[in-house]
Amino acid sequence: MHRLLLADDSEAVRLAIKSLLQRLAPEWEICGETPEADEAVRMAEELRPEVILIDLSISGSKGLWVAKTLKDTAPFCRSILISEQHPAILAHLQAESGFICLAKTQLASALVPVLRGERNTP
Amino acid sequence: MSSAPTLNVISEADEQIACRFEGARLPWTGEDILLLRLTFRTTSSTPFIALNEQIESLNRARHGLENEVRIRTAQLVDAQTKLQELSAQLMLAQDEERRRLARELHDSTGQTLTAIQLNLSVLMSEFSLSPENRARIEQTVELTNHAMGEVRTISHLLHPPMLDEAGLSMALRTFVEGFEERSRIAVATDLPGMSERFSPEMETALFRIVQECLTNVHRHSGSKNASIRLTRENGCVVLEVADFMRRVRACTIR
Repeated sequence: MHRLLLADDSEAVRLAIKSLLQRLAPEWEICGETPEADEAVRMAEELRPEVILIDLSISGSKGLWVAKTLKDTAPFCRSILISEQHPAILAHLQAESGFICLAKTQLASALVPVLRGERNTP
Repeated sequence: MSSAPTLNVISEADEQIACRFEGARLPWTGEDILLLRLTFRTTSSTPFIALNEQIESLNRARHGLENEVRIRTAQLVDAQTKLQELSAQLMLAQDEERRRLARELHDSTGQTLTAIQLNLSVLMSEFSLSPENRARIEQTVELTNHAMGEVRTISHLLHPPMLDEAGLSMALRTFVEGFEERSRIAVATDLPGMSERFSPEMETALFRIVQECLTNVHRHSGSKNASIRLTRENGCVVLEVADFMRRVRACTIR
């Protein structure tokens, strides 16, 4: 089983992503979830997941901070930023930051291929 | 004292001067000169005293007025400073309120719609769905996406997208892209990297300045090109927005 950590303020979104993965990518296990940025960093360091899904706006606007921090403290963990922003804006952010950025509107079609390493862009 | 003696003395002096060329000596006595002095002092000092008093009075009035002008000017400067401070506070309060509303929209409506859209997508993957139901769910996904787009648009109008999450440079690039599309004006950007962050207030203010400047270029300049440059110079943040009709150094903020 592959392990994934879920960091998003919204419980409804976390639930929806969980059922999406259970249905479409059952080989991925959610090893932990949190609505809070500092907690996300702590849990990633402790639980050592392969991937962390981070809401760009978590804890106000700390998604990018979580990804940057984990690049140093948990380099084994791949960060994927997810956001309500328009895909075109997120393409800019991905080019600029080097982190994979997915629009939440595209999660249903893009998340599983990205997790499986079949593609790195939405 | 009458001025007649004076006239007499002057008249006599005049005669003596007239005789000068014949070697005559001035026959003036000390008394004559004393009389002349007294006469002149009496006749001329009265208007001089009055004039001096008038001048002094005018000077006093002038000083009074100058003082009044100084006080009023200081009051005006003070009022202007307060007005600027109030205006800045108003702008900050307005931006804070907009930021809060945008956040509220994102956290509540935006997230709920995201969850609905994801759940519908999971439903779509059910193999047992009839074609009608699948079409209905597809339609609902589309509607949800549309609603998410609307929420995003309102949120962007309230607060610049990516400003909080990824900083000023990223937010400006995003804004410029949309602006170029809407206005057909090509904008060259020279912006620092994403890691260069300023205080939230300064980032919002700089963003609004660029927004206003580019809007003015679009409305008034007629230029088909513009440029934005944001640098640090000697402890200052220097923002330069230019078009190719007239160059405006927009602002320097310490």
